[in-house]
Amino acid sequence: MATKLENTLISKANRHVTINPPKMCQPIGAMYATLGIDKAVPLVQGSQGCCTYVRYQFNRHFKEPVNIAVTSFHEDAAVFGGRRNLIEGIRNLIFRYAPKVIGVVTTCSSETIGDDIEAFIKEAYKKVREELGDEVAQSVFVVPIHTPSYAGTHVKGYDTATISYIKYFAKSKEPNQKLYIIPGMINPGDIEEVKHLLNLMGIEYSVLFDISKTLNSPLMPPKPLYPEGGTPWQELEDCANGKAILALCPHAGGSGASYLESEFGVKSILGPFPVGVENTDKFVKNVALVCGIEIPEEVKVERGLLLDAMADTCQYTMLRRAAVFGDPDIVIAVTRFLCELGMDVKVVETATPSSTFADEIKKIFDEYNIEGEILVDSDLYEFEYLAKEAGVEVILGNSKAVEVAKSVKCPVVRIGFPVYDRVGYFRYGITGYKGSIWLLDLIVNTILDYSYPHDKLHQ
Amino acid sequence: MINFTSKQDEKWCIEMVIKAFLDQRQGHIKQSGIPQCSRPTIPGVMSQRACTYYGARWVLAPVRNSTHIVHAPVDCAYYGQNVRKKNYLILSTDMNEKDVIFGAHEKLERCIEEAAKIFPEHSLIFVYSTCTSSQIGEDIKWVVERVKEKVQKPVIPVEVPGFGGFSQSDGHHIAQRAIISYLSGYCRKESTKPFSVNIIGEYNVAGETLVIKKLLEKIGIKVICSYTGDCDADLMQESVTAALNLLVCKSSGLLLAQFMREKYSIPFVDVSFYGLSNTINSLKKISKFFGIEHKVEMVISEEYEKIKDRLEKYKKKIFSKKAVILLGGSRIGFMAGAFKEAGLEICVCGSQFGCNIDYEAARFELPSALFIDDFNCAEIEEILLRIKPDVFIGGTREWYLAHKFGIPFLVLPQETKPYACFEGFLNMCEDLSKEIHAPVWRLI
Repeated sequence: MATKLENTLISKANRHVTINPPKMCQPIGAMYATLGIDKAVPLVQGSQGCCTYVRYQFNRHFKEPVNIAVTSFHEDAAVFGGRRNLIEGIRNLIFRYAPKVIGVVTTCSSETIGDDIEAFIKEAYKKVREELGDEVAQSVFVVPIHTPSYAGTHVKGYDTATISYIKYFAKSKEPNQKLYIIPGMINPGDIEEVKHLLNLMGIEYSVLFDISKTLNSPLMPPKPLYPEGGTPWQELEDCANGKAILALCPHAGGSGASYLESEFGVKSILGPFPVGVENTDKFVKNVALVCGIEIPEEVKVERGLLLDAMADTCQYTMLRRAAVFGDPDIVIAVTRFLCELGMDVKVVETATPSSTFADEIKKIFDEYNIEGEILVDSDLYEFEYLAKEAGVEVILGNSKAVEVAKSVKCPVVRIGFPVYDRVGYFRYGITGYKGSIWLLDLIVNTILDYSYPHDKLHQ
Repeated sequence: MINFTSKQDEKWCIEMVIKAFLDQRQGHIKQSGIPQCSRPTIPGVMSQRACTYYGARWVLAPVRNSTHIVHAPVDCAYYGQNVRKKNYLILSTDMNEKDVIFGAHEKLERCIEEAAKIFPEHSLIFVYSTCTSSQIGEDIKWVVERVKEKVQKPVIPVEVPGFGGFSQSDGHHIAQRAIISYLSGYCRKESTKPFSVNIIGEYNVAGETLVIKKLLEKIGIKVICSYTGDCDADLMQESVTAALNLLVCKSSGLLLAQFMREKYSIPFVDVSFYGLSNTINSLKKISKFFGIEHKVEMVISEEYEKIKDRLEKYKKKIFSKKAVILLGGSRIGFMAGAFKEAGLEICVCGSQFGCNIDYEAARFELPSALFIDDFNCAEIEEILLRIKPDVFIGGTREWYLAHKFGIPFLVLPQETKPYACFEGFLNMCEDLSKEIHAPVWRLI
């Protein structure tokens, strides 16, 4: 999909330097997953910045306090290794916070010097046993997660965390009838919408790494030490006996699901991320098929409401030029939805390296007869240039899109993580039929606000 | 006490929390005297400190017309793009596994060349190295020397591995040295402009530079360059001709001020524009230096007259409210003074990266407050539960934590209005009273 450019350096493929990268590090993905487990604390084995920067992202996106501990690498640790830091870190963390699960998230520096995390954890257990007794040592699970950020992005980090946790916990026992779900790096609202659909269908399910309550908690003093509502570790143990496991985002969580299938024979379904008509249809059908149930009337009604909303607004969305960037699975799903709305998708980008992304988008483009640019492992500099060139009228992406939109001179519809320049986006899900209606309203209202004369009422 | 989920947990955890407090943190928490500071952080706690790279970005990011290349895996650039709630252009070498194993100096060299081609209008290039590139021994100074000729513009190496210090304040120092190396390499002093100053350690967080500039202009003094709130390569060139330097933040400006005193014989004075008495004292100091005392008295009374009535109204609303302030380094000193002036009663004062001088300044203002160095989440929770302050003043990371306890929070750096000088003080009192008296706190 090469374009003819005057300056060859605009294309990311022709240069070494990355300009305004929209991708984050592996540790943040691993922490995202860890925060969805009940009474779990991520322990970052690295410099303080690796924790501080990530906490900023969480704080500003979710407007919540986030418990993330760090082993505080100083120069000595960087030279002699982080053994003392990790052992003392685990001991101090148990002292102060009495967590059930500690996810040891490694960073670039710790991986570069080759810290033997597994051995350190064993030593830490020994120390805890000596100081605090057997009972305490046995009540804590310390899970190593290897996430050097020079070997992938936040999406890979989440994926690594899911497989690390499932490998650590999953145990074969009595089979149960549950459907397990790995949501991926999506918002609390998105998970709520998925749960809403599953509740309508009346099936037994459990969401692993469920941040829907831990990162959207009520103000009810006194504040509990840990927010209520994460996935209990027992569920992670039990997922080996479930009926099926569904990874909503194959890039983020797919390996965990595949591992469960190959190791325990739990049927795994990868994707699609349920946004828009076709993807949600697929999701509902998959669930109904696995659980052997009929699709209930209520779900059909919700589908009808989405179609109604699409019919009512197609005059505003038809052939409107759009550009999307973000995490691969979310972008694939949103692109399909935009095509369903009749929009002309001009540029699609993910900064995460992916072998399937380009093919998936190509498939959608062919289906809807669209010719757009597909960028994989690219940056916002190229995205901005192509969006400007194509004269897009709306950009969908996270808060990093704001600067791009200023130069392209078009509005932004905020999706994905992180959104820190507006409030509330984590509350409203874009998944399921209901969530898609909300996303549709958001897109149309943004277009109306920006592109239509103020002296006209659009009723 | 902290609310634990089960009775059994509660018993041993309370003991442990207290024990952990005493064992390792005793010297850092002091009711009288100066707490131990500039010490390594204890592993495993939720410290509010950040890394050296963070500190360097804090200082260097606002320099206009400059290219910033981060030689590291991509995340450092991603996070470093956003400084003080603003987005800045940032470039990265995006190191991958291969680069970590075989080294990436060639890649860095190409990146610098490409950056020079893509942004020809920028007159300065900063190259940062962080944890990974430092650990594998990337010699960015050598690369910079090699590439300087080719790109035909100044290239400044900034070596800021995140582990290279105990907190962001070490990054502030390294960033200052980067500015110093630019000044000493490229700026020569030929003349001195009368009645001109530079402001050092002022970052224009909410448009404060403009407010200070306006006030100084009133007494007839021109601000050339504000490091780094209003700063670019040309202004830096011009800044060496100033007659005086005003040092606002010691942590992020002292080195630079000292350097300019020695190299360009520009003297500096400590000033602060937070709080009325601080502002007035600073104005007096400056006017004494330039010999224009007569003008200042007039300006002071004129400015005070403007805000007097409204200020009294807000001060009444916040009078003798209990406050906890947890801020960065040198802010604790002069901010404590400003908050005291506003009428707050400050019970706890802490900093992530304060040094002895900062704590001494703060202790002078607050003789009996509890001082905490390198505070962490567990301690903040304890404090909120035990002291139950009427307002908490701190940064973004403590913001939502305080809210969960039902305690009003004033976040610094502030959202929209400047807090500096006379009108800034009014803004500050207004914001404080707004936060404290928001109905939500009564509805909980």
